[in-house]
Amino acid sequence: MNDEQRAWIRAARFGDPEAFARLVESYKDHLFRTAYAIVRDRGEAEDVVQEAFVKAYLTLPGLKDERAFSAWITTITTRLALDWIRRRRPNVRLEDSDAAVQTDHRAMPAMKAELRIDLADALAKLSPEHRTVIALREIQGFDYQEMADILGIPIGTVRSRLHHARLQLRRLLSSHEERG
Amino acid sequence: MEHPEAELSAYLDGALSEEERTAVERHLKGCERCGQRLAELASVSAWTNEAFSSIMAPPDLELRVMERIRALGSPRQGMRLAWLTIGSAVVMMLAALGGVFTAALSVLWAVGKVLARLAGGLHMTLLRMWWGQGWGILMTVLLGILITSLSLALMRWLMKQAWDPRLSTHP
Repeated sequence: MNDEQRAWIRAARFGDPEAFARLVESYKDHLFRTAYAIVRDRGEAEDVVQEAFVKAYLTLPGLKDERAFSAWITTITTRLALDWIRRRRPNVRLEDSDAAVQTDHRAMPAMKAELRIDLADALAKLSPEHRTVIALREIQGFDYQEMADILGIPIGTVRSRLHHARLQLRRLLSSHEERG
Repeated sequence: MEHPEAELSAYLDGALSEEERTAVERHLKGCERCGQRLAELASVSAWTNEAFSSIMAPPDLELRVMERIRALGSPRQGMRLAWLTIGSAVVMMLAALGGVFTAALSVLWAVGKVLARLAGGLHMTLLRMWWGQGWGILMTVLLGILITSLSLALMRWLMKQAWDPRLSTHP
């Protein structure tokens, strides 16, 4: 986090909506990817991220350390996403929503598009807890201690959960390759 | 050493202790299977990162968030409203407790007077009771007015704090 972002957080804490808009702009893609990895539905991921930003804005005066903003807003988003999938209807098909996901096609060659679809299929078969650790580690790049803090679980659980999630993904992607 | 399957992911992420890392590295030098497994885990990690990096938030997400934020006003005002609710609840509870306490005290005062004056004759007892009850009622009413006034003043102050226009982002 740079000085500029810290200044935005300070200003947003005192009710400056323009400063908060800068923060939304900076964090929206990361948070959307995280929410999408967990809920697997574009519309629901968008709702989750909107709720997360609103909640963050309202509770921002309570944030003591500006440097913790990234982990703090990710915690809000992750917990909202997990609550969301506990509440929502079961059996939301990933295929239905995946086609509508906004992607930067200029940066995505054909190979990558195939990989994305395979990976999306594979992620859909993981449990929400396994998808969450994958999202926090691979998308957000948090270390194990940060993940443990965000999820409120012991670091050993993070370690084994992430290992099993990766093993399962590897197995699922291998079976895709064999079929392809 | 057994195959350190469970440690491979943490090794990949640099999350092992020095001792664990050394043990895994020593094992990897002589175990092709674990080397293969480590390479697979590294591929999964890289693929996931690469696949998700192309997913972008909808273009109008920022606009929608900011519409909601602007409709909400200052976050400090939101916090103040929360405090107003808590403060009001505390004031109302104190007022109710004060009322119950003064009413109970006045009844106890009257009962005590009756018991104390039983030996003094009915006429004197009734006279003193009237006098005692009068003071009790007067004290209760005065205490009630005091608590109500204080509660109203506190509510007014809290409302003023909650809606302080200097903190509002709206014109």
